Amino acid sequence: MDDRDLIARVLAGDPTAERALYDAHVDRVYRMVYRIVGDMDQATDCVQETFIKAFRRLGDFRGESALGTWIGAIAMSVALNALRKVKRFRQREMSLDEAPEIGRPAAAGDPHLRARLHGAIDALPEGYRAVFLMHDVEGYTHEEIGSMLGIHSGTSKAQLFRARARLRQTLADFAPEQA
Amino acid sequence: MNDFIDDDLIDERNGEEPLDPTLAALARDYNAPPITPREAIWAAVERSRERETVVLPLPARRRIARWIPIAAGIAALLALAFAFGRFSSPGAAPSIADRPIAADSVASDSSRLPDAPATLANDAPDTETLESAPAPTPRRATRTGAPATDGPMQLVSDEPRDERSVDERGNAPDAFDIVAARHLSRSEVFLTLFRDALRGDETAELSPATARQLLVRNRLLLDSPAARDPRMRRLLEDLELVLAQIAQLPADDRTEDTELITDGMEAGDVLTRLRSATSTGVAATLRQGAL
Repeated sequence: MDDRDLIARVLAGDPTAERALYDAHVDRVYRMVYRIVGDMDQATDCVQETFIKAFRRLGDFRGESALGTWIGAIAMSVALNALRKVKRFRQREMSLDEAPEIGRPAAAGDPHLRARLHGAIDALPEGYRAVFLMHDVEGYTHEEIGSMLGIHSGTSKAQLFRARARLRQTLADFAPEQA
Repeated sequence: MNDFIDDDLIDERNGEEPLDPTLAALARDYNAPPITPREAIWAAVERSRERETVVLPLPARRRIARWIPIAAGIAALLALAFAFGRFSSPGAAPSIADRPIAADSVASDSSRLPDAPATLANDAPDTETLESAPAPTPRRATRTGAPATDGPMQLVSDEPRDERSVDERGNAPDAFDIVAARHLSRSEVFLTLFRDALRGDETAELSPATARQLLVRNRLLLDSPAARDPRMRRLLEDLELVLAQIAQLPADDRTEDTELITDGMEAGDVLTRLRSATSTGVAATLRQGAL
């Protein structure tokens, strides 16, 4: 069953089709949202809100992109909005000028490379971080990322470049050979 | 770092260059998602969708709630406008006819007249009351008691209301009829005192100013709906002539003029017609043809 038939059945009120649509996309959506928000309860809430909005707006879907991309755009919007609210409390994100201090090891040969990398990813600006996670971690193409984030694919490429450069710079003192 | 990096340059240099495999592997551990809680999420989605289909959407409820006070306000405004229109229109027969008579002021004014003829000037009619259309008094006032020279006159309302006057004219006496009745009553008192003053040679006490004020009101009434009845019009026209003559009385040597006025009053039977009108009320007078 293709997306068009599935959508038609959902719009006709077929509960089986609704569940089929949900099953087809929930895993990808959940993975992506969890990567962004990093919290199980928050990710669950975001995915729930994503599908509620998707079913509510399904009649407006014009088929200009894949259904998964359309749902992903909703999910990214919901997740980033949720993250902005949480960041006011967490204060995890740092400016570009402050970020190198995170990756700089207290002593040479710091064994906790994973923690340093994750800290550096946390310190990335929101746009860089989202593109890096979606492209390098989840495997989306720049076109898909552009559609989901509402940016051009070129912008997605540029942000990925800057995100990688930033991570290399952050980890240079820790692993010069990797930078 | 340059924020304006060309995309081709990125691809050419290291835009497509992936991270080191070690870093890429470590990056995949970043916020590694657990197993998707499918059923929990689906249950929440279903509950939310059921609420949406059963419960009226909140914006719609807000729209309805917002219109309730507006509709109530419009209804109240319409009711007020309707009530105001009924009570202010000349054809508001039943409600006005049921109101009690308001002849107290006429009675009180009349009661002072015999005491001092010179005070007629103070009892002059207020021309503004005609223009402002005072409250209607559909109940007919009947004058009883002794003549004006023997004691104070009283206008009382001891007769039952004559509902036929309302029915026959199609509507109740309006404000102009009420003002006309009051004007005729005052004119009658004034002319009676004037005649008595002439008999008692007290012309010096008469005030032409009172006549002029009565004349002004008389002319206003002639131009008003109160004069729509031909009999009332004739009475007002005769009264106008008499009042005009009195108002133009010279200060000295006015014996000839006063005789002319008296002759005119008797010839036109003005005073009798005035008494008839004020004793039975304007509406009844019109109906009975007394004028």
